[in-house]
Amino acid sequence: MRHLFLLVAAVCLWSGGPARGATLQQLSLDEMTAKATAIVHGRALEHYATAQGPTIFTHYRMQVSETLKGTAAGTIEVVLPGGTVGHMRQTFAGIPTLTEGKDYLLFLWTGKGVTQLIGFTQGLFEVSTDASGKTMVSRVASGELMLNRAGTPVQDQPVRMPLPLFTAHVKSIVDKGSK
Amino acid sequence: MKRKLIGIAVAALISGMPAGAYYHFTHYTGRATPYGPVPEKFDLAGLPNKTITFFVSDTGPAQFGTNDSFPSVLSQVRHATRVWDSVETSDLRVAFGGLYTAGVPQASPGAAVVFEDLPPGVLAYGGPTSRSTPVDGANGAITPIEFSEVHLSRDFTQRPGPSYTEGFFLTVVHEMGHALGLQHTFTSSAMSTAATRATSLSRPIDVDDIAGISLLYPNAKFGRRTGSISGQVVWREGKDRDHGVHMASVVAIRNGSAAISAITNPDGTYRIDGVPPGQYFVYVHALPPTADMVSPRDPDGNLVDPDGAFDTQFYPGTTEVLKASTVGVKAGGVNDGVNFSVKPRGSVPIYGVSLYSYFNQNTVAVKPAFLDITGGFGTAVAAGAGLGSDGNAADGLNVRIMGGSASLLPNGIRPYAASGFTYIALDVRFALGAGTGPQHLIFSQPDYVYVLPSGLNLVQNAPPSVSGVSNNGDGAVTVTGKGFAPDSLIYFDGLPGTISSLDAANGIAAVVPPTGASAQNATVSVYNSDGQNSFFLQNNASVTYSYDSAAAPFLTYSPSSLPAGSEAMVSVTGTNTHFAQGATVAGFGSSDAYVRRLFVLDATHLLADVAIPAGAATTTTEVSTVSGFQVAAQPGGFQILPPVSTMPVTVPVLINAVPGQSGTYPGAIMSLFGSNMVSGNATPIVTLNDMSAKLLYASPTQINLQIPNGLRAGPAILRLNNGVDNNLPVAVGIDPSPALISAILNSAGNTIDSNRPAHPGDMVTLALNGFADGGPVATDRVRVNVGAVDYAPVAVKRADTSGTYQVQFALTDAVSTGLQPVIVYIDGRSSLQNAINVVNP
Repeated sequence: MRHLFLLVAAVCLWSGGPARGATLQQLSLDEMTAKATAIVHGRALEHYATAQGPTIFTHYRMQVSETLKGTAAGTIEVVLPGGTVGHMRQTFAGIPTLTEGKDYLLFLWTGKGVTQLIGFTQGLFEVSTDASGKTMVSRVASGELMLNRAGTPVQDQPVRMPLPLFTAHVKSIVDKGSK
Repeated sequence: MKRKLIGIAVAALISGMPAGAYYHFTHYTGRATPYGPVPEKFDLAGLPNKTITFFVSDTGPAQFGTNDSFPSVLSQVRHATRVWDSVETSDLRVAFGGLYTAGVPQASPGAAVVFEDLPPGVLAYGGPTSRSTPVDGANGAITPIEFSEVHLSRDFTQRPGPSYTEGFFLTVVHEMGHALGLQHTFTSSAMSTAATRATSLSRPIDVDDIAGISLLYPNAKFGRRTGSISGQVVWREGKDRDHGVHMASVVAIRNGSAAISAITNPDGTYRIDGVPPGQYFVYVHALPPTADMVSPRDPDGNLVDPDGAFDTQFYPGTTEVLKASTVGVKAGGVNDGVNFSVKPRGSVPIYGVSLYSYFNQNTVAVKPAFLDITGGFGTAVAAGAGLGSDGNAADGLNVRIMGGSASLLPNGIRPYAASGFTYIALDVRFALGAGTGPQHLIFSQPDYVYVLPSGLNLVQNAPPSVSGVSNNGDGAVTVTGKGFAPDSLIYFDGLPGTISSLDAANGIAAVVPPTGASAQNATVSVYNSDGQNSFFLQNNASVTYSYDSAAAPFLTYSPSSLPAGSEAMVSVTGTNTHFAQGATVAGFGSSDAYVRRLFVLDATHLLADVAIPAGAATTTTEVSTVSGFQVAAQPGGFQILPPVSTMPVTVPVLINAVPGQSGTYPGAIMSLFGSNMVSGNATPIVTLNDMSAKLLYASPTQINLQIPNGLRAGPAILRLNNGVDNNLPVAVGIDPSPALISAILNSAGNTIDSNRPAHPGDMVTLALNGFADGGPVATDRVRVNVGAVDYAPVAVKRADTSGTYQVQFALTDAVSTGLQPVIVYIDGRSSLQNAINVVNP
């Protein structure tokens, strides 16, 4: 019987298949690296929000300290849906917010002149120093509905590893892709 | 956490009455019990007919998979609006408005579905736009939702597409729930988180969703047939001992039914409303890391986050369901004091569990799992955080199925690894006489319990499948297949066909497909009421029905512009259209143009009563009609003009002015409301289909009139001249004449009159002419009113071939003596009044 359930390539009907506040497609690190137009390590500066029609977008300015892919340098602007403009607040569960002064490693995608996070929570890694003084990259498992390529809901995995190891791995994927 | 919000005395916490708590987007206006929670919601006072209308961006998706189409997308959005509109205990009505042009200015609260290029890895998102702080409303403080959006990817070759699947439909239902003001819940309902949701097209929302929307927009029916459970959740130990736990999820659950829940307030109080009567196990659990709930805000606008993790606990104070006690719920009652004292822990070890079953030689995985009990055994597969790793089950993992219908076989927990994930195969056996329906699972480790409501569905039939569709040449098609049930629904993309005959045993159905778009290839699917559908067996090999090519539909309409603050009838003429009552929607592309009522005159002509609020944005909007899958649209074809302050306005809603009477029929006395309906001392003139109505009272805002005798049932055009100006004509519906109570009889069959009066306790029979169409009438459609006292009939039957019906009811002691008016209602529509003589024995 067991072998039957090794058919993870089975098409999942997602018959109870819920969307969440956001519905995400799970991307591997390789896929995110390949699809990203830029991958940067940077610090969140100030942010502001704009209303484009009925949709509010929060614009985060980032001070880039290292570019792992693409040509982003200096300061860049990352845009995420939701935020507050005047007396109005727009809320989308599952879309992350960036905290001013915090360091992040971001997988970015620019389309129609707007730079956004790939896979919302998937493309956002916090950079912090642990108790032993090591600089770590971490990402909690996304709570949003994730589907793999076959459409099967899958559980996202938390990530935590030293920054040098992570950047080296990402750079190797970038280099492999550019050859 | 509550220390962040307030410091409250323990005594106050315990004595504080629990405020209603649920999973809305909440703002607290107070810093202590009861906190004054104000949810974000649409302000019904600002909505026409308490209706929020969803429009869909006319840009549509950019890419479709094979046999998918924009009309199919629209059909699913429309279907989803009907789901939320169907909640009879909610006062909010939800409508589908057709197409709109993104960016059009709209001053009224509204909702939209838009398509955009989303970043890689993002398929959809949605939510409300609200005032950032509560404001004073007509019925107290409110945090009004001004606009809501559902964002979908323009690429429907990706999930959750294609649009004709159940998964896409349920996605839209879920996102609409967010748009209406609901957050996530943990009961496997429509608003549940990703991994656990267990709804289906056959049951798209569950008791938890119904309670959630009804609490937000309650009407008088809410709470009549349901009860409540309330209590408090506090910390058992630690620095916060005896303080309340904020944002704990308290769930009421019983075998064979869906679960229902509430979220605790900052002081740990909670109240679960909308609970159907019965005996329930009640448990409390911490929010999982994947809850994705937007925390409530304090009076300063700061987020008040949930408290930390704790051990799941059943009432009263046990982690074992076998030691738990049930809690009784009665209609209209509150079972208070269902309290919990929970032990903190570092994290939630098990959460987000999905249960799958496999079909079509294990090539199709279905969630929630469906197992056929007729075989005696079955296997489902669980996946989720904390169940195991590296192909091994978590230490001490045990799984139990609540109730007695199913249980695990010995050694029935079999972990394995595949594609980097760990799965747990569960081998299940079914009890003799096992019941069908949803089953709840309990996953436990020695120090933790996780409950998965409705993770497994027990059925006693195989899923349906479709093998062929053939054209009958008369507008109907024959659909063949297997696994049909007498109550099967047959869908063409996102719309059901009209079944004229169904031979379930042989898998043959004659069906009239919905009106199609030109050359549309519609995927044909079958849905059974047990939750199974034909995609279980043929996900990649669906049968399609090809509609013929047809000329493009085109619309002309008059008037093509209306001023703000107006009510008017717009006459729409279609070319190549297939308008049909109930199947056609007309929209004017803006939340500022509300279609009060639509009269379909024929396949190419309809009348739409359109209301434009006084504060409407002056702009051009899109006119569209959707009939089945056929879409006709004219972007920018309609104009909203500045208001005309002196224009007489008539709201096309006639109210029967006689107490106890309903319906608009020839001879009826009706009230008409509006503005500027009388100019100075002039006498206004009102006509219906050019027949003058007798006016009984007239003021600028109200006219009482008598519907002209001789007016035929159906739409009638109402015109008014206020002595100076004419209104913009509106259409009103004229009903057939009401039923007549032709005889009032006692139990011996004699007429009740002054010589033979009725007495309290007597069985009375009313004979009615023109009551129903000749078919059987269920008693719950009918009520009898005698002297302002309502009676449920004991029998409603057709008396003879002439169409006379008899309604029997028993007079009670509540009846007053003397000559009492008697009226019979069917579906809320009154008969003409008669009288019954009642005396005391």
